[in-house]
Amino acid sequence: MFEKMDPEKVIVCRCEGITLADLRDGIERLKINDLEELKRIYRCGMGPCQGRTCEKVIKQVIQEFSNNEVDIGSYSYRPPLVPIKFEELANVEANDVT
Amino acid sequence: MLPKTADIVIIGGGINGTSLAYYLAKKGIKNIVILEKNFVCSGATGRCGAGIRQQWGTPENTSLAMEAVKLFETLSEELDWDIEYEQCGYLIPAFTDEFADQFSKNVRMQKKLGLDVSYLTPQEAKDIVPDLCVDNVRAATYCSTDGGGNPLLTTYAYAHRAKELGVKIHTKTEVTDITVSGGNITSVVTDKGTISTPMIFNAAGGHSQEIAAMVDIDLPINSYRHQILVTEPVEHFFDPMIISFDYNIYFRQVKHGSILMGCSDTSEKPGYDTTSTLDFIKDITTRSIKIMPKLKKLNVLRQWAGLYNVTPDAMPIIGDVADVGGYFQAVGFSGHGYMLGPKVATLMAELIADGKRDEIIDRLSLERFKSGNITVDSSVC
Ligand SMILES: Cc1cc2nc3c(=O)[nH]c(=O)nc-3n(C[C@H](O)[C@H](O)[C@H](O)COP(=O)(O)OP(=O)(O)OC[C@H]3O[C@@H](n4cnc5c(N)ncnc54)[C@H](O)[C@@H]3O)c2cc1C
Ligand code: FES
Repeated sequence: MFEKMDPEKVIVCRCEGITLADLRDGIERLKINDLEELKRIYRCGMGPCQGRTCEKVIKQVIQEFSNNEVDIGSYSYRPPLVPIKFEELANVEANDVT
Repeated sequence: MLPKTADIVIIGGGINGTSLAYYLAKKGIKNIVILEKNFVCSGATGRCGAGIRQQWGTPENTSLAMEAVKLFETLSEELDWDIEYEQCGYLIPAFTDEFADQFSKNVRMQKKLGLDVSYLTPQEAKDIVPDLCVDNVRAATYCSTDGGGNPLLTTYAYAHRAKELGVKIHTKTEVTDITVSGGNITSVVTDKGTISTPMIFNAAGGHSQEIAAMVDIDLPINSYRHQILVTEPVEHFFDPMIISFDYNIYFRQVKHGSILMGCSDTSEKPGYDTTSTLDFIKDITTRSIKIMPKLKKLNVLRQWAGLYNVTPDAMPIIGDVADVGGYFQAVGFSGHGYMLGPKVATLMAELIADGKRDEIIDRLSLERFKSGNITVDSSVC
């Protein structure tokens, strides 16, 4: 499905601007087909949505370009699930500080 | 498929295991196998703040870190991979007279070892980081050649170059036992099979004491959860890593623009828990705003935790041991194993491949705890 697409033009992770070319580099040159490892090298899945938008597509890309059936894994989602400001998290006393 | 035999089995696919594999392979050692129970970089290395500082409280930590910096300066070139190493400096403000005094002693020791470090007035600290609130700062120390790197890229670069040199990396493979016969290592047992080997290298990070226990070595080490967060990327507004031992906090704006921020929690009990807590982010955001009010407006993106593998003197335990032939280790980095790992790996590769024993290996061996005469590095957080 991705084979015929221009790898430089297809964005697989919008938050971090990661292209299909980046992912293919990891899968084909570095021979890495673990979702968590690719995330740590290329940052796909490290954006504000924590990979909720790109996980499915990235898994499909890994399946397509890895030679054998692989155990891809899943992203680990970390708190907070949505971005929160320091001043909203900090204790009230701290808000007195200017 | 696991190989049946190996010349050396390295346990742990973090910075210590992968860099050792690379330096050993570069020296021509064959049949090197790395066993990693999860994936490469899944332990402390992939979770760390990745600061690289030379401003330590003991000569051992200081001189090792100075050597490590020399190595990091050319590491991207050596591995042909940009590991995002930068010498952005470390600024360490003291908010109490006690720390100000301690820092002036530290600086004297560090200068004696040849480190270019300065003892600053609060205003001089503010000149370096204009957004720092220096109202209660007594003094600060600064070293411009300190800095940081990207721990993920560093580890994957070592792993990739090691693989090119023939090293086999088996992930999702957990070491469950090690057999010893006649005082020498004979094999490593895993959940995927057994490998015969005359040598093992314990680079298991927060689980190093469990690996040592498999060969009846009792390490004076405990693991502690250490939490950290990252903010959204914002325009660059300060250069150095800032650490405060008074506030027990460190933070740095990395190349990508986000700020990494962590702290030690002295109430943390020894253990292997790496869950994140709400208390941590409430507490650290509160404290950091006091040091740098501008942080208020930033968004926290993610928080996570990893294990500090801590020794009684906050210095690593490296080298071989008297009782078990073929057992080597680089463990107990006490929160500074990313910066020291690669240098320690070069020393360990010389020991294992060439039989060359640098004097620092003896000073940091397990034996040092037998005398009971240790000097603790208190410049940790
Ligand atoms: C939040 C945080 C911030 C930090 N900040 C810094 C910093 O700014 N600068 C710095 O220099 N250091 C820092 N550190 C410390 C640094 O991360 C560690 O000292 C260093 O990464 C240790 O590397 P390692 O390779 O020894 O261990 P790890 O990276 O933990 O690797 C050990 C590996 O062994 C594997 N393993 C364990 N048991 C087994 C088994 N039985 N079988 C197979 N595999 C096994 C684990 O899965 C793991 O991947 C920080 C640590 C944390 C947690
Ligand atoms: S799209 Fe990949 S992290 Fe948001």
